[in-house]
Amino acid sequence: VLKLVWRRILLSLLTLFLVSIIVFAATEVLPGDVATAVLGREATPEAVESLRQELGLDEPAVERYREWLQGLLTGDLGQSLSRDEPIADLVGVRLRNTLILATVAALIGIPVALALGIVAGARRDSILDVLVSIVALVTMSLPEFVVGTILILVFSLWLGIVPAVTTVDPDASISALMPNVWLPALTLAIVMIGWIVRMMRTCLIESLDSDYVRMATLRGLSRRRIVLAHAVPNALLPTISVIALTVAWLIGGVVIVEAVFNYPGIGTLTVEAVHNRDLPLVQAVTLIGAATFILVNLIADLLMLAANPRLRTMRT
Amino acid sequence: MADEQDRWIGDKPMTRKTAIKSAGAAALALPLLSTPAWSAPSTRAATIKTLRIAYAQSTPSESLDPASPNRVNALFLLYNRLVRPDARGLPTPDLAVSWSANAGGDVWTFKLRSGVRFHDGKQFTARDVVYTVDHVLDPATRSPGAAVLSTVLDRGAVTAVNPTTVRFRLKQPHADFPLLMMHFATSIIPEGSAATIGTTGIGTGPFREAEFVAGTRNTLQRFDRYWEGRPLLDRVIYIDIGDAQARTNALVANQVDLLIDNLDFAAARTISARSNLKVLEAPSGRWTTICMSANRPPFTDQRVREAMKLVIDPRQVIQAVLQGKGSPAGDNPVPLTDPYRQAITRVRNTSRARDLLRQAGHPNGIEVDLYTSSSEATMVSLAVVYAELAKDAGIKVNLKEISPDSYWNDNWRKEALFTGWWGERAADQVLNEIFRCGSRNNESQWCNRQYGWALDRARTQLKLPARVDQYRKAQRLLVRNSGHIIPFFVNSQRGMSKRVTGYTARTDIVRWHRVGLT
Repeated sequence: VLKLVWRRILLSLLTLFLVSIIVFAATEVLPGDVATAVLGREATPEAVESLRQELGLDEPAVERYREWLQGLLTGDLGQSLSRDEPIADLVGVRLRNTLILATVAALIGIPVALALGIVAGARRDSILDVLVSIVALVTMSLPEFVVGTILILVFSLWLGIVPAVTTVDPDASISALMPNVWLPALTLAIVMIGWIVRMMRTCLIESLDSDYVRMATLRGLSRRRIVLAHAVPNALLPTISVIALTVAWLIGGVVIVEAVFNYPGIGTLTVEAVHNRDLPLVQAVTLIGAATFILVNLIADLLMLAANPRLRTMRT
Repeated sequence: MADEQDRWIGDKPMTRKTAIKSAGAAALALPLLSTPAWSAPSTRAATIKTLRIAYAQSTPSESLDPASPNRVNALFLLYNRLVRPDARGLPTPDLAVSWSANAGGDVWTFKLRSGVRFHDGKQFTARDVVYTVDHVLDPATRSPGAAVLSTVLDRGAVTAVNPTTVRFRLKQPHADFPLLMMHFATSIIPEGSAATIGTTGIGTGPFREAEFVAGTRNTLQRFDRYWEGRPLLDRVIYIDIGDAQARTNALVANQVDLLIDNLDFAAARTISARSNLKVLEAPSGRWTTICMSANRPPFTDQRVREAMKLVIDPRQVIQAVLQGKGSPAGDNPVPLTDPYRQAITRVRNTSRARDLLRQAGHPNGIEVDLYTSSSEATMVSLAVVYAELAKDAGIKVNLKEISPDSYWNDNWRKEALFTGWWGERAADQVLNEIFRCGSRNNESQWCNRQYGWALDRARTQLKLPARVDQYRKAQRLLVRNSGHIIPFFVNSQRGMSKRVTGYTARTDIVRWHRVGLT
């Protein structure tokens, strides 16, 4: 098993390396660079040229990539070109904010989704099931900004219990930040719930249809016991991978939600970085996104390995 | 606690020592204040008057240096210029009390206000003016103001005659030189401050810097020794909110009091529907254009350019593109309020346009590609409306919409026909900067010698009526000849709480020390 884990980790590092090359190349291809982005439309060519030299943008792309990689390997993410701050400082506090947001969203979303999925699956074709399925479909198809806007309308403008947009600094204390977390977290939770509900429901229905459930029914176990003790644990296995994908999306895909709520996280930083062609910063945020994606999936695989004896004993 | 501190500052006469102390107290109090900022603005307003302004930062590397290409929005709160515009756009005294030129119009002398202090207590003198102008002209500053000033000034051309008199020796006569000193880049900074001004923001203005987090937040505090009197507001906070919808939400939810970025139509409707909010609307000098490259066929022919202009129906275009929120420009970029403006009315005439095209050798009309981008709200809709109007004159317009990311780099000024926009500029500046042969921002490459002469003569005419004649002559040439189709000036629309007082729709003449909150 350890060998398996090591192989997965090595593969992950290779993936990250490839991601960094692709992102670097993609940002290079975008028109303009940080000098034109920062100085604006009316900048003189001389000013752009001198800023380019100052930032070392006149060096060939391969050379700049090599320098960046070298820095990364020694644990130095480099300096942001557009903000003139160490990237580690910039990213650190925003990563914290996004993690808070994602954690709250996951804590709200996952239990609710699982419960709804179980209820719908256990009472297949009942009115409740139809209702849950419809709601799940609706939330899946609504874009984040629509959900966010509706929530702002209800909770900020009508009820006035939480702020509509975040106006505290990125490095505000957690207690200052928290009032601003609820709405974006709820938005994320609503958008992610649908996927998990549907997966949970389908898997549970499949388990309930299996021989061991029929066996348990014949032995006279209560329906409640059959569902919770026998069917749900088996149905959870495939659901875990969907949850993992959703959580990974939470951290990598918060761009729109953060923009709608002006939430100072990785998402807004990513948009800013790309807009300003701030290459080292783009590299840093995308690598963090990719690393989270890989890490969450790795954990999910390990969890499934732990939960499924057949996978565990299989030699690869 | 923070509130008490502030009242205490207000009651005591400010000495230099208390000024320093209170600045420290304010810095300590800020984190406390920002915590409940969304929840209890009304209770706080009774004790401390804080104006909260939402803005969209254009770049995270913002600088407090007025000469910087990344200058902050708060320049006129922190600084004064020598002269500022009055309601008619004419120069009126700010840090200068009077000015005069020699007979040739190439040596200008400004008498300065005495007794004005910088935020750090230092006295304002002529040497600060000399230093400021040299700082703007320094290539290392990369100031957008350098392009404007360097047409008449070299570094070292400004001298301090005595502490309250400063003299400018121009490279060539300029009868309206004081207009150039209204440029924001010439906001006066203390002598020797070039290295630090970007973070200290020390000026002579009604507010002083309290806490500056570039690209995120800028907090300013009342400057009690401001020479025009104590400001009404205690504090002004600029908060960066990137998304336009989020800015509107913040205003509606009472998290901010003022949106200084221009509103789109949907946001303006949302805001004016609220009883506690209002939309300030005013004609501005900002224009959107369809620009023909005068050195690229078929636009090398003046008759084709004229035909392209004749298809515009100003009223219809303003209705369709701006939902009526604009004024006809008549292809003339000089602001409607500018004393030098040549009044012009253009009317649509498609049969004349067809005639002109026929004379130019296009009996079957022409087909052209028009490049545009959604990077500016009105450009695409203007292009769409134009293509529709042009059909009637036998002009087939193919629209090419380009991603905002690459438009300004790859297409603007590089195609034969493209859209663009410019912010308000006074007559002399806009005519020289954007339309004159050889100027870097001459996006249409239009070159007309008579036009250049008229502008040169205008600058040397010290008598106002003679100057007006020359500028108007230049404008008539431009309207008839140039490569620019300029159908309208866009009205500016800003959203604000009705509690804000003293903030006017013409934002360039806002007197910040008179802005208050009720």
